[in-house]
Amino acid sequence: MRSGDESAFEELYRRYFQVLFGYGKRVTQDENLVNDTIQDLFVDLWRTRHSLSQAQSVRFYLFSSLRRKIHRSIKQDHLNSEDLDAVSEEFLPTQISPEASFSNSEELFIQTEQLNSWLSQLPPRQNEALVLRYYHNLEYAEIAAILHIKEQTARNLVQKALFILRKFTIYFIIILLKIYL
Amino acid sequence: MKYPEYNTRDFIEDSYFRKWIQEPDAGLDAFWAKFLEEFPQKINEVTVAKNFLLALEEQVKNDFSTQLNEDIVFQRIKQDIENDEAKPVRRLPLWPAWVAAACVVLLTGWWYTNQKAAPSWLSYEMNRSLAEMPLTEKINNTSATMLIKLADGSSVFLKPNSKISYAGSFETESKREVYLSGEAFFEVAKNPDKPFYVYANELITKVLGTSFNVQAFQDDKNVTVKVSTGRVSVAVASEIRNTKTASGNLDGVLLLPNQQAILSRQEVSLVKTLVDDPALLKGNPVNAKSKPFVFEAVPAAKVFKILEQAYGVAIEFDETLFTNCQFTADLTDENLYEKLNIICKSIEANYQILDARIIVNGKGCN
Repeated sequence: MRSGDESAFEELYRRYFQVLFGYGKRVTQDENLVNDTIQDLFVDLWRTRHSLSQAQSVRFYLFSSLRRKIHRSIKQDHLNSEDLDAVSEEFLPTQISPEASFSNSEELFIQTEQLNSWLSQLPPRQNEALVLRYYHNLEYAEIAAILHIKEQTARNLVQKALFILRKFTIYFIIILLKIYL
Repeated sequence: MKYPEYNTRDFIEDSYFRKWIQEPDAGLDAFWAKFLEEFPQKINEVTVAKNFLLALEEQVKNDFSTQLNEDIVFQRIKQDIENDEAKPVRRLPLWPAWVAAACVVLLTGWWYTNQKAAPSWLSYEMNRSLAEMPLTEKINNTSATMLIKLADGSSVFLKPNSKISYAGSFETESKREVYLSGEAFFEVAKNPDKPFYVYANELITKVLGTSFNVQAFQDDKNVTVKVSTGRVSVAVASEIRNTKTASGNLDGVLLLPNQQAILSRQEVSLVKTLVDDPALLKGNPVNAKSKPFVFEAVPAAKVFKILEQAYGVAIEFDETLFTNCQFTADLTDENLYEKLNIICKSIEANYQILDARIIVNGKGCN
């Protein structure tokens, strides 16, 4: 990449476009804005390729830049949208209880679907933190930098979101018992 | 080993565990299978952790875009970069070459990400961007067919929700080229020196002078060319011939009146068949007779031959078997398939259509 190799550049683009697009879609529903931002991001990357530090994680660079750029564009329309996003989290309804979502089924294979619906009902910031941590495999320090929060806050976001998983596990044991007894 | 002490959260947090879910290989599979064999009490934690990561992955992938969009954005990036670096003189010639390259890329990556939506290998915009001349565009947003007269004397009947582009006059080029999105009927003025090409999605139709209909809406599964008069050759754009899914004859088919070529964009296969409602050929001596389809005790073999000539279709049958069958009816008002049904019923035969030929089977009459 740093050698300015075009095929490496394309490979990088191909590897990250879809995840960046998906991530951008979480920040804004406006697909054109996401496309434009990814375009800017990669053009910037190409222009600055000779000065990029080798040590920096590409993944981190891409995600943080994408988020920052999208927010910059949105903020021209809605002031402080990021703050709004953070505040609203407190007022969002709490997650559905796993007991409620399991109540009608004892089929194990449904679990992924139920986890899915649970994930989609998480407050956006918790969901975002989970995705960055466990899908994109970023470090907490990196997530904190991307979300502009302290590292401990990033850990707390993830912690809070995962709390419910314990209940999932317990409930899962109950299901197993019912099946085997 | 630390894993026997792990709870669900610990497994999710563990990068080696995540790797098993995200990029599994034989080594990882073996390791975790062995672990569960040794510590079966961990099945709950492992299963929930695994399902959690899979659910997360599914959620992320739901937000993915199409391969087409990925390619379009990359084109734009590439163009920006070229504008940065290339001298203005170099810029123009580079652009079409790049578009062609982008089209090829589009094909190779397509299947991995988007198998649900109607495929769009080549679009109207992509075809247009390959044109060397400045193009005139006509768009029909009305609910009626729009007649467009081209400079060479050809007529285009542009159907609603369709658009077409062409170079203003065809004087300087060696070919007449038009680009279609949607549906149109063409009456092409004869000019053997300047073949007429229609680029419609992935299908290229070449004619010298004839009339035919092309249907190629961007979101449709198929691209269809139907021929009314003359001879038309149809080929699949070279960019998509060598794709994984391509099958059958893609180099092209020759179409005669009442035949059509259908390109299935999903399977990339080109099939030649008869149109749904074959029309009587104009100017054929059979049709010039009065009441050509009133038959009185005519041998079935002769009836089939009359139909062949009237509609310009090939009907295959065993002549010796069907010569003894006598057929009497007035089929003036029936269309070709209704005629065939009635004839076959009366002589206890049946027919099928294969590669634009009608094949009649039966025991015959003795």
